[in-house]
Amino acid sequence: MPLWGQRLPDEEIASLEAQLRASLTPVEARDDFVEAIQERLQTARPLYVPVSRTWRQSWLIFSALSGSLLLLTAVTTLLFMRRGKAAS
Amino acid sequence: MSDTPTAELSDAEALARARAGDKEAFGILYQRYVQRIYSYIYYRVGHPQEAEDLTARVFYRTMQHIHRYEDRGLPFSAYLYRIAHNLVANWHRDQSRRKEIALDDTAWNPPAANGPLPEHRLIHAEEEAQLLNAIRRLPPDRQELLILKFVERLSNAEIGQILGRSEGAIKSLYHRTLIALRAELTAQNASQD
Repeated sequence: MPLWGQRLPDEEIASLEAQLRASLTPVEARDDFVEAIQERLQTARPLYVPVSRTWRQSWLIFSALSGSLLLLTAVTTLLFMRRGKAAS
Repeated sequence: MSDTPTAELSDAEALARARAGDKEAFGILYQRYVQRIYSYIYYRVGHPQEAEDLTARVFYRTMQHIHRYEDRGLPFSAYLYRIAHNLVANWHRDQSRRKEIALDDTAWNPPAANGPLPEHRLIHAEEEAQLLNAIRRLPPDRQELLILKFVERLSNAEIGQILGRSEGAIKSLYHRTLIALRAELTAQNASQD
């Protein structure tokens, strides 16, 4: 049955609202659950890692990696040049 | 930072401290809202254990993302309800994927229905279960509206803030919800006769 455009009489609205008010009452969580989660939240890892720290860490990793790569390239080039000279 | 004792902090002050990494301030926000979020989730899923699990996840997620929280003039509860709404939606999606749920598990478990009940209370409990099951058959946004309105006792304007709709849209959705609920209850009664 299409419901679009239907209207409920005021007394039906009032009766439904009364039923909803009586049935939909707040439900309380168990105290031990609430306390356990509170404790776990207090002992969890830090809430916030400063952005500057994460940037600094990323920069250090990037520098170390690119430095190693540069060193490796330099050593390889040097070895090739030495071998070339020895061959000639 | 001010020297206000943590327990007396306003939501905005507690939030500011929590965003800076103060766990005690986050604990205050948790204590203020845990029951409301649990109640909301309980009515959306109908199982105390699932409600506990999802409530815990709401607060873990909030804690993880609190440093990114932006104050857009909405109450902090709107942010929590939004996270709860998303987690409940995911939960329902997972449940519909897992088709092995027993039929009994999908029925509503009223909070205080233990032990034998006198006849008038038994009738009331049956009516209540009927109403709650009818609510659960409504689309999620309508269920959410009824829970926020009757369990959380929020105004249409506050519900609009949480659901991202105007007050007028909420008013109209509410009326359509009541019509749909009436139709569900009539259908239930007809199937029982």
